[in-house]
Amino acid sequence: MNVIEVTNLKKHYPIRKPFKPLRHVKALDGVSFHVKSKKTLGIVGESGCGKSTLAKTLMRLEIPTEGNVSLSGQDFSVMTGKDFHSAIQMIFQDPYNSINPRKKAWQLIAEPLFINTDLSKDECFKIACETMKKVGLRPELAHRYPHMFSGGQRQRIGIARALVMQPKIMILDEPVSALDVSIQAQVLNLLMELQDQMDLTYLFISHDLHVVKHISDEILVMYLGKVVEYGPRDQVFNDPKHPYTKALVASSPSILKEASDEPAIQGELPSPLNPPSGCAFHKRCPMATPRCSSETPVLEEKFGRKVACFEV
Amino acid sequence: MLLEIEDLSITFDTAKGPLSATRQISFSLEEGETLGIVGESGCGKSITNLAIMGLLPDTATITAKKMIFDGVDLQTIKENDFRKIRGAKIGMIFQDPMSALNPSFTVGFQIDETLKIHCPEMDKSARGARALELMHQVGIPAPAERLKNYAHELSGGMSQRVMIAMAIACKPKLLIADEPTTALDVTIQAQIMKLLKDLQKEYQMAMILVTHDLGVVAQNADRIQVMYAGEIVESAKSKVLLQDPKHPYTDGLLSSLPGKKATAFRAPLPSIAGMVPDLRARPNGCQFNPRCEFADDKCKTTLPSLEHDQARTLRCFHPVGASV
Repeated sequence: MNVIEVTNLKKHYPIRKPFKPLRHVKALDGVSFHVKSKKTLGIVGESGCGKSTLAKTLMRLEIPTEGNVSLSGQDFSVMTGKDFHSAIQMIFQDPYNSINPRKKAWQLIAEPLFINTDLSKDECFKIACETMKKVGLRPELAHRYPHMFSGGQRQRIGIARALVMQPKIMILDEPVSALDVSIQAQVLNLLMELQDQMDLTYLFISHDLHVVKHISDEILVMYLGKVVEYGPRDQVFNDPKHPYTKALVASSPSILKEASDEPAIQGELPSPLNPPSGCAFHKRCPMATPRCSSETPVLEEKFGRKVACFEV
Repeated sequence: MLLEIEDLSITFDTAKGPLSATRQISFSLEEGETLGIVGESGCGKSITNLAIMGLLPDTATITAKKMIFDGVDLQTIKENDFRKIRGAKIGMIFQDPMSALNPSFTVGFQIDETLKIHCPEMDKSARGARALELMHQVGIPAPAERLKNYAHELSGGMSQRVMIAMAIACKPKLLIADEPTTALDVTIQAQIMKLLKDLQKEYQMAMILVTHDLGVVAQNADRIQVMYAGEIVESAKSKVLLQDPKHPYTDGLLSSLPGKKATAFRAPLPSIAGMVPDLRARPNGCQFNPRCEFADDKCKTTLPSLEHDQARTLRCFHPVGASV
């Protein structure tokens, strides 16, 4: 059963400049995927590839230009606020900026309840305390303000706040990248425990391939608003087929392998305002042919995963 | 020996009392060597480098037995003379290239400024030629046009390349790279690290590479120094340290990393419980003892001293793997 199903999702931002023709930044350009219940989809790619726009669009913070998202079979654009928020929740990257410094821990955690339910203040407080226990915070800390917590504890508040509505799907946008290495492992462990306890489905966005590899069942690799490779974790990471995925895996620093003499790819991400013709990656691609600059490859089933490349 | 530091301690006067940011830091650096410094935020990595550059604010009190760079005593040197070292003999690259560049001048002007101050013998056309050469060297396409750009017109990777061009403009003997790739994407990170390595070979520079990413230091540093709560806890050649960590903190850090062959899919990661201590209220004895599984009464009362042997430097009574 697919808990979330995304079909051909597009988000184009118009660029209006006086005396110039209307142009669009295609932040998301035809993204499709689906995730089964209790599974984790890892979404990787460099900054500007559309990962965060995807998260925002799925949270209904942006209105999609085209395409469909269905949550447990229901179209997400017609769901009521309460239904929607108890289906999907999000955890943000920076635990310092994403929580209101003037509210106490329990108020932060209970805020979704105040908005979406009719529960009394006492009931909300009780639920907040129980949720704190679940994420490994002592309920005695309920009356403290955010500045009295460390980075790892604040991220736990962020997690508790997302959990309090008992969602089925959680979008995790770089949940551990602002944390120190020794704290990262604690938070990752907590996320995995919660997934098992509460039957959660995760969309895990991160640039750290090792973290994604550890936690995800399936991997979605994005480049300039498009999916370039999508498939089971072992296939995608152990035997990447798309040249961009290959480059990502090769550039990811590891304590196990020596640095290669040549960087895996040259050049930088092209401007999304003025993307190259044909395959968006062809200017940096070591295996590009003339065909790549004129035609756009589509996602095709190859070698047990989907790849968008002519040369695979 | 290019850089020798012995017993460097830095204390800040704060409204809530003195805060000892680093204690008894001792290390040295050979010419052309790369030293990686790793540790969590607040462990004193950056402060140590700022002390070497003489850039700490007045609220900091620096005491050291020895702080010698290239035969010059950095403790007694006058500010005017320090200026001749800073930027000329010691170059520095900062974490965030976007905010390290001045937004209101072109990058050409900023490279030119460095050359003007440190190489007074060069005339304007010589400086212009050198700036162009530097831009070319750090791998910026169309360097002549890029010199006329402002910081906001460059991408993150480009800005970092410009920062590197400025840092190496005067052929420094030591390059301090403070988290040079943290703000960049992985494919760009690989390009920048490769560039730094090439430049290091060409100019025979020593490099201090500060980062929290163990993968980056593992691939680039000759020697790694691990810091915890303002102290050096372990230091050794990269391979030795990564394959056979002796300090429980180093061991904990390494085993908590996902992506090692040993950790199975979705297996719980070994983590270090607890948090870094508050530097205003340091624990007695070994700074790591509240989080350490091997800690005993001795660790709680006495601070272990930094012991040197052939392979490594270590501050611990109960190294990992030693018989108890």
